[in-house]
Amino acid sequence: MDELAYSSRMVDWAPLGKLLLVMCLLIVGLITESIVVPMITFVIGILLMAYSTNMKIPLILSLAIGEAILIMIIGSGMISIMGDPNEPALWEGQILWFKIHMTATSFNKAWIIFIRAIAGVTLMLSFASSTPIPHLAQAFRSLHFPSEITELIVLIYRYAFLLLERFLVMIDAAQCRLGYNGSLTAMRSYGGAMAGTFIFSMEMAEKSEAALACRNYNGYFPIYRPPRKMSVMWPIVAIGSAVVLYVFGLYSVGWIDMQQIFAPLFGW
Amino acid sequence: MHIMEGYLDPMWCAVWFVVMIPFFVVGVIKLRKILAEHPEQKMTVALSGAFIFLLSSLKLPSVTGSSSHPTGTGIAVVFYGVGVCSVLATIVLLFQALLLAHGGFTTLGANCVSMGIIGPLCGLVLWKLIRKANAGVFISMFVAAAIADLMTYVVTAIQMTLNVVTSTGADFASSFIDFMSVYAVTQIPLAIVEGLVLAMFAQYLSTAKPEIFGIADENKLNPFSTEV
Repeated sequence: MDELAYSSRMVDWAPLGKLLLVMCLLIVGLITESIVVPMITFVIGILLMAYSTNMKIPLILSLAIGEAILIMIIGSGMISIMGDPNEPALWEGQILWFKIHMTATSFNKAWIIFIRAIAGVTLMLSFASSTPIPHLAQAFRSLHFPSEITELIVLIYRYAFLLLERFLVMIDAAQCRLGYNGSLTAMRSYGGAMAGTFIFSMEMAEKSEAALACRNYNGYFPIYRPPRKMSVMWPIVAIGSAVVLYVFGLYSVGWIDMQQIFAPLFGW
Repeated sequence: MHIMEGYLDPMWCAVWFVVMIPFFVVGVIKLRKILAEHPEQKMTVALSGAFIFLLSSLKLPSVTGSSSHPTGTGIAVVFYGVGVCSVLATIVLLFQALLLAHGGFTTLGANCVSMGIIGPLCGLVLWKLIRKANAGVFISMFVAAAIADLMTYVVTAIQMTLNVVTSTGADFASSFIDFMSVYAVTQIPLAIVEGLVLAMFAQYLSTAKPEIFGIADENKLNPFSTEV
């Protein structure tokens, strides 16, 4: 991800400014009842992501996004079938132990949640794909966050990927030894790999502590080219766009009724 | 179990942030004390966080608007208490929202309350009780890690149910049963596996570094205690 972020066209934008813009857009999408506003924030997120990455998203990241979208579809579907029992049902029934009571309100709510979630993913990834973690830590430091926290942010990020790499090696090794032959053996192999990863991590912690001490580490990772500071334009743009979208959201409630759109398809 | 971005209504986002903040602040204070008095613990704290990140990234989609995965908070809460665990969980949740589209910014408070505070607190209570009964490290860690994992999902199910009840007017009891029963299919086996894995690791540590359990046993149960 850092590689992607360092090559982003938005890497020189102020990290705090980007974070503020993303947070404002996320919040405005959440507080308005109009589905049009999350749709607009989704488009903004896609455009920012496209600009940031030049639409060259790594496969592993695409898979993560795909999985997140699957969870969103399932989650929104779940909300749509949990309607108010006192409202007339669009669809009623029972599958296994699930009582289904889909109402117009719950169906529309599910759609707005789905669009908000998708918009959230695009906005968050536009930020992540353009902000290396050391820049984020530097931004937190400039906000006077406790130095221990900013240090932990960088350390956890570094170790997480080292552990992941080690874990995948152990999984592959177990596979070479037919470690997934049967569910009990698979569980044992999986457990062994996890325990092995943590044990390895303890050894690695001692080595890396010594290595950092040798390089005069005193709790701060210096950055050769520090990120830009947030100019006054960022709050103006971020808060201004949020206010405009909020006002627009007040007027656009009910412009798009998903239940009406899907009614001919499902015969409601 | 991370609740996705946009799933919770603004009111619930705010409520869970308000619940989270005192634990987080106390956690930061406690963490600063730990690192000031034991600077050598820095790497172990960071690795506990990285381990939470690694385990909680191994997710399976669940039919709830969320996902199932181990939480990995058992070790961190036993070693450092609930406050520090909430700080580590917050950092991990922030990374997962940014890097893996897993969870979200506005749902960070809710996710931290379930995975970083209430779930681990239940695990820590059981760890204390079982250790007081002179049980071994393996059994104590197995129960603490498995219960921390399961309670995380119970709390998430409650959070999602409350949101559905207030936003669509659904019935609380039937919604909660729906959420819980779906989670149970994937989460009970995962909690057992996580309990076993962390118990194996704790068993190794108890022979390789027995002094670390001395610190863990002296850890205060009260999340607002800033004593190290």
